[in-house]
Amino acid sequence: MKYPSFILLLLSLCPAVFAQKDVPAFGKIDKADLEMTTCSFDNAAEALVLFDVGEVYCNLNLNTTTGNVLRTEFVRHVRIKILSDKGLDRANIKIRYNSERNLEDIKNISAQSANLDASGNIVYTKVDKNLIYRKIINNRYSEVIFAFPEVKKGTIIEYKYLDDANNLYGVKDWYFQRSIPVKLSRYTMDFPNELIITATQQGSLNAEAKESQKGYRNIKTYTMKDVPALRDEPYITCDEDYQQRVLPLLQAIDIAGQLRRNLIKTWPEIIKLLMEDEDFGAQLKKNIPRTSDLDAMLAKITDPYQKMVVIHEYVKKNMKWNDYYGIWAFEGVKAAWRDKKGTSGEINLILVNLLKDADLKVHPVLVSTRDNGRVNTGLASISQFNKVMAYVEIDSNVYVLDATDKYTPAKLIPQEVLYSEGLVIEKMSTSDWGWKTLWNPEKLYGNTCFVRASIDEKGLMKGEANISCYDYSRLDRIPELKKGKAKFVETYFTSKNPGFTIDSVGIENENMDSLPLKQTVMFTNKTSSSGDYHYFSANLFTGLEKNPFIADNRTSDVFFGCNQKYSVIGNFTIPDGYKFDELPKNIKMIMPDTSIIFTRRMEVTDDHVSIRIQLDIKKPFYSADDYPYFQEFYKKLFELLNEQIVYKKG
Amino acid sequence: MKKVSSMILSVLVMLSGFAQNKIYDASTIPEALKKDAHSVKREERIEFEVKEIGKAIYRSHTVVTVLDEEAKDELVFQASADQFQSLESVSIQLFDSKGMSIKKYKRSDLSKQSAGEGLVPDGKVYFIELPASSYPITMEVDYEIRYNGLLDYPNYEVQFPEQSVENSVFVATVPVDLDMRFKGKNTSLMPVITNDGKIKTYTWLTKNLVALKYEAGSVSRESRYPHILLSPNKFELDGYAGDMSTWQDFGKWYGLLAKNANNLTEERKQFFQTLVKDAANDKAKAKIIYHYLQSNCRYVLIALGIGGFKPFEANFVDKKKYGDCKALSNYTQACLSAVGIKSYQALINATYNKLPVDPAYPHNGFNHVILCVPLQKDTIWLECTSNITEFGVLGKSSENRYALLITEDGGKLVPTPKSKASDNIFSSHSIIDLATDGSGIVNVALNTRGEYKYLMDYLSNQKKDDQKKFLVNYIGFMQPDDFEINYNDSDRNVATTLVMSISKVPEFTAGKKVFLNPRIYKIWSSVLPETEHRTQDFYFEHPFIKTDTTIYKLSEGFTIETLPKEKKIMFEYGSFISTYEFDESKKSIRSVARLQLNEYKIPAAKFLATKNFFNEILAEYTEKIVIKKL
Repeated sequence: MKYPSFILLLLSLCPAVFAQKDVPAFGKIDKADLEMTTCSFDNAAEALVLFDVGEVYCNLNLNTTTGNVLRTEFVRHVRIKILSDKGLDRANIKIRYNSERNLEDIKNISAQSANLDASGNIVYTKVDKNLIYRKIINNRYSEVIFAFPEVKKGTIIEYKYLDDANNLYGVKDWYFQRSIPVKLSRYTMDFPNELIITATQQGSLNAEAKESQKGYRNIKTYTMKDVPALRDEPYITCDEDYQQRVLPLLQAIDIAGQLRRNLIKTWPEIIKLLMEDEDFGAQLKKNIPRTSDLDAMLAKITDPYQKMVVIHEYVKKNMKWNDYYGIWAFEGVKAAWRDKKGTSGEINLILVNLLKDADLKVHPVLVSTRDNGRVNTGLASISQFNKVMAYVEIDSNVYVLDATDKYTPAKLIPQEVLYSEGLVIEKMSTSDWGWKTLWNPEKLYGNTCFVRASIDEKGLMKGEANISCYDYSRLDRIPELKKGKAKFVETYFTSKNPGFTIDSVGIENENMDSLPLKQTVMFTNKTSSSGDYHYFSANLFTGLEKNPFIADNRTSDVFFGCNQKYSVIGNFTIPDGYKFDELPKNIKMIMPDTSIIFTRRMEVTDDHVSIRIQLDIKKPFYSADDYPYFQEFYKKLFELLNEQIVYKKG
Repeated sequence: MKKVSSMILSVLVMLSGFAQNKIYDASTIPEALKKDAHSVKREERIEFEVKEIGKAIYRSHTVVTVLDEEAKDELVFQASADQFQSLESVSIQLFDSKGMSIKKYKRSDLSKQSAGEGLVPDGKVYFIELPASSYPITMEVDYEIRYNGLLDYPNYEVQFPEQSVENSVFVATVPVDLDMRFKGKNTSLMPVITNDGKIKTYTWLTKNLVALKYEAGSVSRESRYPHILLSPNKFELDGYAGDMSTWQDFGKWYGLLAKNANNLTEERKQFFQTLVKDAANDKAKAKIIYHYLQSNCRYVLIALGIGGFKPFEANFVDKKKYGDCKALSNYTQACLSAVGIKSYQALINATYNKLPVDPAYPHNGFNHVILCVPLQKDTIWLECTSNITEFGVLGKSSENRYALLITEDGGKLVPTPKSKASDNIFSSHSIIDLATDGSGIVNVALNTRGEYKYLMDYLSNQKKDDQKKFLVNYIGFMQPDDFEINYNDSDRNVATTLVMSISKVPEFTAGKKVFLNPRIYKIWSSVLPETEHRTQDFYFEHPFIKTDTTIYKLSEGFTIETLPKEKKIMFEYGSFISTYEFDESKKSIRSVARLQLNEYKIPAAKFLATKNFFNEILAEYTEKIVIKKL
């Protein structure tokens, strides 16, 4: 018992929770909040979080005889105002916790709804304890579930609970932002000085951070007010990248009389440990049992690129991914190789092993896929990565290979890591490492369409289109094609061109990764007419039918991942005795930063018009700040693409 | 009889003896069975053995070859377990295309998760997804389920979509005194029935069934493919015994579960009596009660009490103001009863493309509960889970089918009303002030009824940029620069007005000519599925009427050039009419259109005509109004 007085002090400090003035106590509901009908900063909101406050209190019990005991108590208090019928579902609550080995438990739940009665008095209705359920979700997680009684438009619901956790399980990322607006969100971390904890902020807005020292404890508070609701936006990297949050991280343990233990490692320290880890580094030194068919294929090849392709294809074909992400090979690469099934870690470490055996210059690269969020290179933590891939260098070319991705060929960087930062472990023996941007500006999303068509007296256009899809565009279409040609034709041709009769579609290079996917489409289309005027569009089969960027506001960057190129070269003949009316203008439109260029040229000779439309997008992403220009450009672009070619008799 | 049974037995022995080894080898699949197929049921033997009322065992042995990735979902084993059924044993083995064993799986390889989306624990699911490194791949599954309490007997699913069948046997055995019933759906397959005095055995045997194509927009999946319904006569669930051989008896059983749930306090009964005291008649009273329900209670998915069949008491809902379909229907019934109005809870199989239950074959084919209020002049049906449905309207999911009324005398199967086109109306009236530069201010008034009200409700609850997306992408308006929506929610969002400013109203211009769309939004925009030889009926979600009036007011700088021709397109189940006129004095173009669909269910033979009809409407929108800049 070295610190008796110290522990006592800890306990006495405990009830400091929620002393903040702007957060009323449980059950103290302001009548004005009940009378309020809309959220002041989002008038379409279905519900408004009046406040969401969480305080995590960490209790460190230093005991030399039984060992140190670390527990956290996380108290959360939430109050939500229901603003419309759609918001009623917000009154069904699920609280997920880690119930494995009693790591966490949810206790002291109190919950009630509040309404105004006819005479304007506040009426509270409690959630009965016996109507609070616990549901086991799986081996690891459970949920506390309850529904609030007496909820209608205008109701305020309120709940509070304690998450009592072993170790630091109660310390979680705190999300300020939700799919409904939040008036006040606050996260407090109350830790003994022995535990040095930091929190990294994420999101484009900033939380107000405060830090104070009370006795032997350090208290950090993060507050955000009037947080707008999150909304789904097209072409976003990862919702979480933009969601306002803090990520707590234990930096060090500093106990008086002991050496300070740094828990935060530097990147070099982490890499070193990683390379020594039985589930990672050790797996890179395994001799994967040879298979005779692979050896036979490799025996004939000397070209390193071909070797790489053969090994990549072999692993892709023979290993089934069990949909588990992660960099680790918990079962070991040998077991996975035998079972022909594994996690992304197991499969890609097998790939690295085999590539290395073939004398290729290969390194593992740690990546975070788009859904997993952007890597913070300044924060040395291995948990940011959710996949490992193979990073191969041949001459001056770089290849990033993922054998869990069935369709991406070796020459393309997998889409889910495009334009992200990867950590390449350069030298496996010395753990040298470096950051690389996984990106190749040469590889495009490319669509080219040659159309030749003629229109008869009756206005029937008959023609042939030759569409070539390059690289990422090809990659987009292949999975659909694998589902069957009928489905493919419907998705890309029939449903996108209503009114068109697709007479036949020929497909070339389906299984030739290195060549563009060629589609030859024979089509018939009744051109439109109004009185004497007949007209048709030349924007055929480009995949540019609908403007995805119509929203006026944007909080996230627009992320394409790769550069894009679309072109149409069209030749159309109109029937004898007809002539073209005034044609759409020849035009060139350029974004202020010249990153997007649209050109359109048309040339008429008698009954014949030749058209060239080209759209080049030479930037993989646009920041939210650029959005106003970008939106305007897209609006104009689709206006131009919609312009039609008019002809009439005479 | 004895003779037949031994013959069957020998056939079975032959089958299994003969088939050994070969069935694991994908190259032995007959060519005919590969046509249109993504998977082949090579061998199947299912034994369903009813031991006594409420106790049964289900044993299944299947060997399925998955031919390509499209059918990879079949490489999944899934079994649910709850208080009434348990997974006794399972073993799974995978074989490569040559029939060589790849790997075996046991029960401990399965993951376990809690089942259902509901708020309350409702059982768990065992499952495993098997890896396929290449195709074809063959999966053999053997498992056994033990039932302790049964309301339904498991169906014999003869065939799944795009799956062919090499050999399949289903054997059901049941004590003679219990016996069972069956009904084939989409199949003429009949069982061989034997009876040894104690046990009755039904054996269905089938082989070499070719794959059936998938057709989009058909009747719901469970009604679409060949299957045999099996049902008990007498059953028992959680100690509640019942009889399902007639609708009347089944209704009696359900009535028993809800018997004491009709329990409002005297005080609350008086509250409801006061609430309706000024109402002129029962219908007006019922309307007041229904609106009280809609504005005070909410639907929460909860399944509790004997497999989710027993409703929460009325008193509970009255206090908590939430419940599921059973609880809310039961509550409304209690409230109506408090003001002297009789009503019946009614079981129904809701979803617009589900087949109605077969009146001649009593079984538990229901998934929802509604309320039926028989009044002197007419019968009112109430959907008690919606906060916005109109009084007395059954939505698309429960109209035009059979409902089982739970009456004092047991169950009574009655048809629900069929909705008419005029029950679902989307009507718009737009005035566009078109400036010389092509910009315009657009005033739109939308009036909606029936199913379209839900659209307006959805729209009203979206964030502004999502509203914009909805207006442009779903309804088909031109992209507005700014807009404002107003609702008249005094009548539950029926009327909506919309003011938009659009920087470019014309679809396109060519020189001085300006091409305007025939109306400010697309009255119809979906393309019906492609199908050359359709065999299944096609289901729209509901019949409807859509009308539009668009008035373009031209500024001084314009003159009219061409108006589209008037159109009148008729087909067996609907019509489309469009007219255009130019008022010289007001310089305004008036375009009026009306689209009506009278039937939501289109017979397969009439699908082509239906598709052509809608294609013509799509084509009509491409005709433009041409005006000219002076």
